Amino acid sequence: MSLLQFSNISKTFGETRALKGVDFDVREGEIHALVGENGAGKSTLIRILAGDFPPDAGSMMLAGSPLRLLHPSDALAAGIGFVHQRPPFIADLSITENFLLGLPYQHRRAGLIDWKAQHRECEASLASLGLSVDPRTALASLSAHQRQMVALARALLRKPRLLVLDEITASLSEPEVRTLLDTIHKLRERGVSVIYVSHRLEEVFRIADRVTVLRDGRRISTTRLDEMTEAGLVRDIVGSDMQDLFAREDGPVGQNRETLVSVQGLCDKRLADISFDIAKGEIVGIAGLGGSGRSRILRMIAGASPRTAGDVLLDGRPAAIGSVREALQEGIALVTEERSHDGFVETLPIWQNVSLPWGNRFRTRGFLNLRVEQRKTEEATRRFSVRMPSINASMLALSGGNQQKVIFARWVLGPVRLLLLDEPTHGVDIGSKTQIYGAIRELAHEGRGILVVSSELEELQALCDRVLLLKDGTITDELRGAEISKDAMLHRLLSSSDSTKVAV
Amino acid sequence: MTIPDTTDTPPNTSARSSWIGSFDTASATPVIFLVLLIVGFSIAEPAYFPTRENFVTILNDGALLALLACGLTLVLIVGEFDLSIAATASWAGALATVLITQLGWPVPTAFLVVLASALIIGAFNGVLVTVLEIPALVATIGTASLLDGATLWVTGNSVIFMGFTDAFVWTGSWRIAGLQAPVFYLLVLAILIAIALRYTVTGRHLYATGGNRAASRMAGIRVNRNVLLAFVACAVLASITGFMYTARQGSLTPLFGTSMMLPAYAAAFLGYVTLANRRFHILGTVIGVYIIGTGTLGLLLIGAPAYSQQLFAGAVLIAATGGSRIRNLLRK
Repeated sequence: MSLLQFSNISKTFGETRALKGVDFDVREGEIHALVGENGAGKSTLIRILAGDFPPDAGSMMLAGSPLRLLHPSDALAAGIGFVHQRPPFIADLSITENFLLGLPYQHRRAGLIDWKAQHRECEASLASLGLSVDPRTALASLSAHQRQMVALARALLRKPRLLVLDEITASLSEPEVRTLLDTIHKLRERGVSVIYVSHRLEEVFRIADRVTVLRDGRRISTTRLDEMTEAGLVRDIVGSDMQDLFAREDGPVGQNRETLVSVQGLCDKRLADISFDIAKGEIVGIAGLGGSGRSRILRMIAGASPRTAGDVLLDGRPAAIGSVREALQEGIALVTEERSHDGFVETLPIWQNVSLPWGNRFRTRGFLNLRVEQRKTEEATRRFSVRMPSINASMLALSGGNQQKVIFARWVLGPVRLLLLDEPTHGVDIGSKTQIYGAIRELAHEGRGILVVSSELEELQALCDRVLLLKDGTITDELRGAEISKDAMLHRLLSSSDSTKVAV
Repeated sequence: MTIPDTTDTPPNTSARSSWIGSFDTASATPVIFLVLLIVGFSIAEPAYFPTRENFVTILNDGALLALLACGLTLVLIVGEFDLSIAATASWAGALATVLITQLGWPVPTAFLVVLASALIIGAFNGVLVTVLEIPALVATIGTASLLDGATLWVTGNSVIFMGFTDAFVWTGSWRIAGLQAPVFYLLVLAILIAIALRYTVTGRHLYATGGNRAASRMAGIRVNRNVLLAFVACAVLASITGFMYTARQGSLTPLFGTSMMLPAYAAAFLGYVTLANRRFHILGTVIGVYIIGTGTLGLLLIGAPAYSQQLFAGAVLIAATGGSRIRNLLRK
């Protein structure tokens, strides 16, 4: 029996038709996955369901009665709960305060908040999801995964009939994803229906009963997952075959290639003796669990995080990496994970974001030659086929994938020799993903060294010539060429059970 | 392997459009408003308003405020605030007056000392904000109070009108075709700053710094240096403003700068939405100053009570910065 029914939902923003007559239903006790590329209409649909704005046409039925949503509180009142990729928490407040944010508190007789009862309630809710933390501590002390659990517990507090989970695993590592998916399975047993939005198809197959694919604002298909193959799903999402998404391309693996970078004994407070080489044209990955410090290795090499010891040799000579600026002058650049946080400057147009580090290259007699700058930046974006209204447009007009391509264009514009990639396809849709993989391979072919960190092990499998395994604060192992597989990586990362407690 | 080319982006649009950011009707509204003000006052007061003398007066009156506001614009561009601009101007005027009228220093030497004091004030603000990481709002209030204290100390908190040399007064009051010296100072400095903002790497970096500090740092931009530079430039312009204001007046009223601060902010924020989509820029700031100046003088001429000028400036500022949002709300 269907719990939620979308009928003929349409929505237009300005000249963009975000949704065109979408209809499908979510059944009682079902985990229903909603997938599609960025811009396919998923978030518009979710926001309509949240009461953020009304559809232009169409209607929704919840448990047989029409659902009228004029305000976000209407959706909550109707029994729909939401958990987003980044829960809107306030880091300085305690876990309990965040847990109850916007909800009525329990009061004692004098009108004072009964904190003891509140903490107890919060602790119990979290414990029921398998998270045991002191609810009095500041939320800031929790990992991304733990925050997700708090958000989930908070959504469950209202006893929703339908839970919408929007990209909640996007910044989690593999074992964390497993525990979270486990938790979601248990929720279904409690009778909660779930709409599960995700870019990660593998998760969709692991968890969902049915899947609805949106593309360009239309519903393409709604299928039972046991009748669906991954290739079929990808075809529905991108509108064409892309079976080779994670296919490896084994080039000449680099025994006899020239060493470009030699990282020697890098240490900081929690990492010890990180040493490895990267050859010219080689793509090296770092696999590690969330919180293992994988990103910090990149940041240390890029001069963005302090190191307590160690050197980076470039062509056998120690490189100055005291600051990002120095590292850049050596030809070492970092593509950060959170583009909008420390990747691009949203108030500058696309072309100025591309040329941002390279102003001096467009100077003649002290002044910027804007014409040349625009031409060169446009060429660079064209190389990565950035889909954009114009080179003058705002970065915010671009999808996540295209924003990332702009960042890539930035780094090919200058003499970058070692490119450090932190989660290069974070928040990127599948179509752009293949293009970004292609771009990374091409950048390597041109002789750059590439060091990738990714929480998606498939990504490392698809890209890397070698994968370094980071465990317990140091590099414990290395996989090469055909040895690289998701299973092999996961097996090695999880093999010593002392540091990892994973519910499988 | 080649990357599939899924799109053909049209060849690029001209370099022009970003001179003023993305141009749209909303960003033209303040300019249209200025034109309407001029037309409206001309109809209401045909004998006095649309005259050459009156426009010259508006230009002369606004020039120093515009100079002050241009300096402020630089600080706003890097994403900071400077609440010490008025105190800096007051101090610069007082310092120049004491040096020239009481110690008998030559005007050029006094001017150089005022500029040196500006460098120190700007660097002080910049260090408080970048090195000590004190929020600019707090740090510059502190600086302002220090400067106001110093001003009252050197002037003995009394008006000074004795000893103003002709040379001193001349620097702020020479005229060409009725236009007073500050108009020309403004013209030169505003054009120089506008060119620097658009056509130099430093200018670009100031905007990047204000837009996203973390991202700028990751692009190798020296963020703190830029913030410091903006504070120094702002203090220099505020000091020139104070020096010229005092020279033009031929007398010094301690803390005369105080009344210029809010109009300077109002002008910069008006400029933020003028001919640009939420972007501080020099042309916008100057237009902002003259919108306020035209409204103020026009109201005076049609005999509106003095307080209506305050009402005017406040209403214009709020309408300008909240305008697009208000329009969206009305549309719903």
